[in-house]
Amino acid sequence: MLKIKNLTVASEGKTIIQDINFRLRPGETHFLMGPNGAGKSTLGLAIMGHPNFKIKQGQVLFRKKNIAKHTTDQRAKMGIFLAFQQPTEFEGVKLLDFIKAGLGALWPRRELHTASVRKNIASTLQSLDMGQDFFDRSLNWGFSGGEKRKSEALQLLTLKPKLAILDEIDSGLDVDSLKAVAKAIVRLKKNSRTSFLVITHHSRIARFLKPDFVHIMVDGRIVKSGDKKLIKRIEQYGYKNI
Amino acid sequence: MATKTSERDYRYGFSMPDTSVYRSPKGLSKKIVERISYLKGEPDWMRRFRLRSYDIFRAKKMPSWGVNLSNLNFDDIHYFVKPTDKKSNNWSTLPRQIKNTFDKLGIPEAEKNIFAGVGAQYDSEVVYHSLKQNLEKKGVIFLDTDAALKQYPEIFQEYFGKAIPPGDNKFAALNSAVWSGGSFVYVPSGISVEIPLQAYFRINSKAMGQFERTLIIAEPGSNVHYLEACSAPLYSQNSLHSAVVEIFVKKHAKVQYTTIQNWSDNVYNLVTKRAFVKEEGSMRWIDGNIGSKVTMKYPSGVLQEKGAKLEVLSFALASRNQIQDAGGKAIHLAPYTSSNIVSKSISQGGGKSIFRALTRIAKNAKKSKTHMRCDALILDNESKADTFPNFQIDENDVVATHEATVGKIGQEQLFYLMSRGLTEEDATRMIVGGFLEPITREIPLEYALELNRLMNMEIKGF
Repeated sequence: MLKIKNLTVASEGKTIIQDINFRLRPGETHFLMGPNGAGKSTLGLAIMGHPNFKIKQGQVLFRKKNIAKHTTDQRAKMGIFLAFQQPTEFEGVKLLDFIKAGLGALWPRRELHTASVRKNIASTLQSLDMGQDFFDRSLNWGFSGGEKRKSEALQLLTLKPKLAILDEIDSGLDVDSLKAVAKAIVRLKKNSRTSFLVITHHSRIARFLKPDFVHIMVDGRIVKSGDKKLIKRIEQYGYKNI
Repeated sequence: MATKTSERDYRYGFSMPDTSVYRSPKGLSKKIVERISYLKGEPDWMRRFRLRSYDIFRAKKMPSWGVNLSNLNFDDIHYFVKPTDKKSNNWSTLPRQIKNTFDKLGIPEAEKNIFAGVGAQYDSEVVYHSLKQNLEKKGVIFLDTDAALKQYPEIFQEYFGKAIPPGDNKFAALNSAVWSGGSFVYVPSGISVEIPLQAYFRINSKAMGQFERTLIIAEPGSNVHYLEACSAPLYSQNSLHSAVVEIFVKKHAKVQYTTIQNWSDNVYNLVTKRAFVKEEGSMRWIDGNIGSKVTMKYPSGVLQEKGAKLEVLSFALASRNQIQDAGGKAIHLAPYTSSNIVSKSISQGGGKSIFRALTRIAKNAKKSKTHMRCDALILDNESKADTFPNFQIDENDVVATHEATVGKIGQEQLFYLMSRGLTEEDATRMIVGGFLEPITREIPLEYALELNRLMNMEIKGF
């Protein structure tokens, strides 16, 4: 599904990610963990094609295709999704209209009526413990931290990508909300066979969403990879002494 | 960055063969002014009013404070073009070319679905007019202004030229000298016109001046929404549109005046609009400027009595070769009056948008409130936006606030939307749509949809 090969990423001449490698097979869930500033978010943004982050060396292969030359919207259409840690706010853009536009872009041949889209999303909203008025609010505008996570989760669940990169989707959520979001994601994984790259520095989401692999990133390098037992060791020893 | 420069995608630029029944020669003289009045069979006071206005027009200098108008040649314009002798309240009896024009613009269709009354002006005169019977029975008058002068001379004379006298500015003087067409609306006390009235202004002729004159009188406790739209063929020669709109909002009355201006890019659009607002009355201008070569327009309100309110919500899209100089003006003359001037402008493809607004609060207009806000969005590096807010406040016991933002579409915003599959162009449109939303939500839904479609066509992205 996703192959990261000798990848080095820089921003404004400064190297942020240095020579990393890993491979995520279809249906797998990988955790990318590490301290703040390790370069985890940068990897997510680079895979999505953020203009500030340049691939200096190596490759990002998505379903065996080098995606370096693809624009961000093309990558989305290929099936990559990034749940943002800090989603941008848009005054006046209705959440529903935006999701509809996203669906229209990803599935141009599908008929999209606001009413049917609304109905489909309504049940998703319910599973996330969100009121129906959420639709008509401006996209991320004045959202609390928790609402922003849920807005990202709602988009993820509606757009059903092949690969979802979740950047700190667990932060700022209370226990109940985390549970609701995680459960919905697990359901998506089961029903749509979505693969996940989960960026986090908490282990608590692992209780709901089980990783097949865990990578630890420190100072732009992957210093260790392993299975979920690695999470226990991080809890014991921290990132520095692992 | 700007690899594409945006030419406007203007679908209203078609023209019809000239079938006018009278056309004054190019240029302006006392003789032409007399001729217009004679052809219309006007009372003598109007003929004298026109001649006096002509002298004022000749005496006044061009405004020097705004857009450079030196390329506007007053001698290269036809000031009066009479489209037909067959004015009608039935589309099918209109000359074919004229009917086809309005069919293409979708006016008869919109009339059926959205409006309580429709007026359609073609070059210098209104050729079609209608009003729903139930409103006519309630005493509502909706006529073209020429007809109103004949049918309701007393009301007409009481208000005409009272909010905007000929001496107000050079273009108000010009309009006063050669005015023709426009709408006359009279709403009796306590009557609420629930569905909007619409007027559509179409220029068909080359090198043409359109000078309609609109007069709206809302008696105490009444309520009306008037909506105007316009377009013109795309010619290489310039045309001039210079309207005067006067509105009288009486005690507790409410008037909304919505404009969607979509002139072709060869039209100078220089318009004077003013409302006099009495006690607890409310005037609201919604002013959208998408077209024209140059627009200079600042809808204004004179808050004459206690509790009078004014709102001016405007938006402008300045594309390649366009200057949109717009804003609003509030004059507070009484206590507890309030004004709110909000502007949203978008510049693209080398276009320039200018926000110009003035709030004046007179001594003793205590407890008055005014708010001014302008947001400018610039879509590329060649385009420009300027803002000139101005406050003149002679009373201490007031609240005056002002906000302004000038920005480009953020890279993070584009990236976010594109990460969900939207192209850069669609992402830009979505951001622009959101930017304008505080204004478009105030426009009747059918119109807002049409407007969004129009904007989507015009916005080219980077």
